[in-house]
Amino acid sequence: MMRFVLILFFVTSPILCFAQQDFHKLQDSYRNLSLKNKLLSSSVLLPDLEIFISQTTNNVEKVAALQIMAEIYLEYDSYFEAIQALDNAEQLAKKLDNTTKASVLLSQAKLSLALEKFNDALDQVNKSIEATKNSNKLIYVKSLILKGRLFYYKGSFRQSIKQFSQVKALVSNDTSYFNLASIYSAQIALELGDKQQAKRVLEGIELSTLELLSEDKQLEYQLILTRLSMHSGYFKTAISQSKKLLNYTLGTRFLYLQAQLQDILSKAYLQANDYQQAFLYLQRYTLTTNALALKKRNNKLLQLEIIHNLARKQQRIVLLEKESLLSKAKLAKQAFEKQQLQREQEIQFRKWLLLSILAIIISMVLYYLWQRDKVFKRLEALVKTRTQELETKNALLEKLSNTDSLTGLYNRHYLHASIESELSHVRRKFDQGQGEQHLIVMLLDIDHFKNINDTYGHTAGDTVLQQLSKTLKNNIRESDLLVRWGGEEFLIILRDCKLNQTEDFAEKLRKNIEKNIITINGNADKKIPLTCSMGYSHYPFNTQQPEQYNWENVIELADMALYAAKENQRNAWVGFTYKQTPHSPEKVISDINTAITNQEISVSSNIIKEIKFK
Amino acid sequence: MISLKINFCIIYIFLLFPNLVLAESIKAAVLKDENFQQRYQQVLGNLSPLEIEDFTPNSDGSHLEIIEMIILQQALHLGGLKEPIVFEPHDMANLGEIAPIVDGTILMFGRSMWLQTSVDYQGSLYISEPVIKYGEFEAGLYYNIANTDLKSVEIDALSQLKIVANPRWLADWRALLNSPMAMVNFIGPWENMLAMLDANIVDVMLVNFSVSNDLNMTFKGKQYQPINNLKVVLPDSRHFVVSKRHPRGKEVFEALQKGLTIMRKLGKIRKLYEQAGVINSKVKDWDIINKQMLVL
Repeated sequence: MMRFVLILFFVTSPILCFAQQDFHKLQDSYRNLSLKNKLLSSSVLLPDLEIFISQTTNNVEKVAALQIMAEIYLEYDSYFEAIQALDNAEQLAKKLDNTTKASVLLSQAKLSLALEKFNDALDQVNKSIEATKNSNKLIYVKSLILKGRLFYYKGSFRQSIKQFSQVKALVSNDTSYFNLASIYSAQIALELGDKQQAKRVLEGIELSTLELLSEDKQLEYQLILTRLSMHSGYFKTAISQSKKLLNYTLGTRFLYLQAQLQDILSKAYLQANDYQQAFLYLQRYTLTTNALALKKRNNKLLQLEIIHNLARKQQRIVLLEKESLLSKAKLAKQAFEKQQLQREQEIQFRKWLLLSILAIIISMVLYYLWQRDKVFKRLEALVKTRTQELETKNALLEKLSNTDSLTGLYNRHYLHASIESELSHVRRKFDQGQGEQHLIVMLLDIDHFKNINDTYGHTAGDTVLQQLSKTLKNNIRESDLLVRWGGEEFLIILRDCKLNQTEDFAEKLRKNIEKNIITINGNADKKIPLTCSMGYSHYPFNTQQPEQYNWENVIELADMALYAAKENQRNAWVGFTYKQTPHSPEKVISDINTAITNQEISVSSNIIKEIKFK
Repeated sequence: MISLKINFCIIYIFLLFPNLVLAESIKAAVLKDENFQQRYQQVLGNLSPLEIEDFTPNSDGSHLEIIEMIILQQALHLGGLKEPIVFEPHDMANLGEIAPIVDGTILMFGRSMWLQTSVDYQGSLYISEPVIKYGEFEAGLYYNIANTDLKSVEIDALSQLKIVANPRWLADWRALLNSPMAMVNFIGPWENMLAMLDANIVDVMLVNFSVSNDLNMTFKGKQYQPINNLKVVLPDSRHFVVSKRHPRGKEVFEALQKGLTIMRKLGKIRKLYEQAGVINSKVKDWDIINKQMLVL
């Protein structure tokens, strides 16, 4: 135990400080480990290498360190870790030079070969060859040798031989690569049963250069010599050489080499007639090959596991991708639906907004219309009211303008406005020869009205005027017209009146006025006797020529008759009636006396005495 | 009584000189468990094996052993050994039981061997010139005829196929290692490999081309046929082996080499192999899927 610890110490002590050393020293130390020490100490290197990888910034060295790690893992059959280390190396090498890439490829090819993934290995080594053909002879030659070995393991011996011939042509015969190619060529020559060729090839190796080869390669050389001895019938030599080699490799993991040696031993013993030993080594050979088969099976299982893991990973990736796609689609759908919803909401909102606006507008319009209607109605009512008011006022105004405010009788204005239609009506009748009825135009004036005003005051005067108005109203027909002509003067127009009735009417009126004593303020003591003078004429004055005497002429004639009644008597009436005159109305009027005298105009009156005319 | 005495005398002489009897017959070991003798006799009919110039297979199945028995006899005869060859049924199944020929108990095998399986015994065995040269032995990729998908397969599509192979059959194994197909390792009876085809566990298996016109092979009522236009070269040569330790080993081997050389020159070896269907001329122009192994 103590011895083992000491050995471990001596073996590992120089290695423990590798992390601080130059990488190349570390690399060399690994390369120089003896076959037996390798197994014991190479694993100790792993932590140092990991530290080195984590600390170094030199990616080329990092890649090289990863390659060494992969080699160490490979020695322990830790294929998974080896694959990982080389995967990392590959990732790093992607950004580095072709030589580093090719070197990683070569390591990967070795690993693939160990896993019996021949096609992968061939692919990797071909890439390495292609990458270094014109740039790096060392890796190129290494790649060619590995390719040759690959063909050998695949059992394509002829391709393998060709490969090694190519290597031997490329390198000088004092190099390790030449020796290696020779050894492997001899091995194949033996496989093909050509021991002479094998011998020739091996003789081409300069023994002094054999040391250039690594320990395991030297062992392979020895193995071939042993096999050659057996093929040549030197069974005892073969047996002793094999045993020696077998003893040397005991405790190592070179199972393949050991199996080959056991196979040789078994066959050599058989051919030396030592069946017991032959059987013993055959058994050992079987055990070793079983172990190798188990190892292969493990490798296959590992590969299957890796493939399975990869497939699962890919499946998971696919699933995740699908899920992601689904969730994307779902999200997209949701987003779309949301968008749709938003759009619909927006549309709804707009619709409602529009409807609301429309409703508001309609409401406003309706309100406006309502208000307008209301205003209109109010205005209408107002207008109506105003119109009514206006009408009332107009009526009032009209009334006011047409009536006398004191007596309520029509005034001269009214008469002027309305008389023309009366005149034309009468005139038309006479023009048509249907005229019998005249318009009697009678002017009436209160006698001594000035005295009444002076005596009883103007209020009494007004009362007189009012009471007289009533009396006059009472004495005329409704169809007749009574107008306050001015002051104490009234105009009566009797419609459809025959001339012969006029005198009676005048007399009757005179009498009724006379009879009707005026009382002031209901006071019986204040009675005022009242008489009126009247003068009248008629229209048309000349019935033959109704238009000869116009209204003004007729009024003037009536006025002249009134004047005559006043001047000649008072409380009297005078009336002019047309007889026949050649003179014009103006002439007649201006010289009424002549006309009367000439009986061109007849005079009616209640005055008995002779009447004088102005 | 006199005749009895004469008989005793003869027996006595034989007992004294046993070599006189042994020297008369050359023995070659043949497999006991396959009934080649019967088929061999049927092929020969009334003819002597030395008289066979043209060979016509009279049944399905391999005629390799039969034709090699004939070639061996003709070669030895041509090589100068005129005595009859006796074929002794033997239990040997593989080279684990090669001891009798190594130690000289058996003079020779009645059939050829792959070089690779005999090469390590060349210290004890004489290995003849190849009777089937490297690259001459070809086989087909047989599938169950029911598997119609394989009726026409291009060489590029082979990587999609699974082939069952026995790693102990080194030549087959090496040939298939250099093909694009995925290999399924199976150590067991040949019939079980066919069953794997029937069950679609694998797609194809490597079988020597059948002698039938359509190259189809029938086994227990089931038909198998090779993928059309594709063949595999078995990367090895076949040789007769003769024990170096047998007293007549050297003599027999020399005669054998001499006879084989003569036959080779006459083109008889190839012709007989071709007639027996071992080297099948029907597939002469088919594509070799592992032709890279033929590189020189």
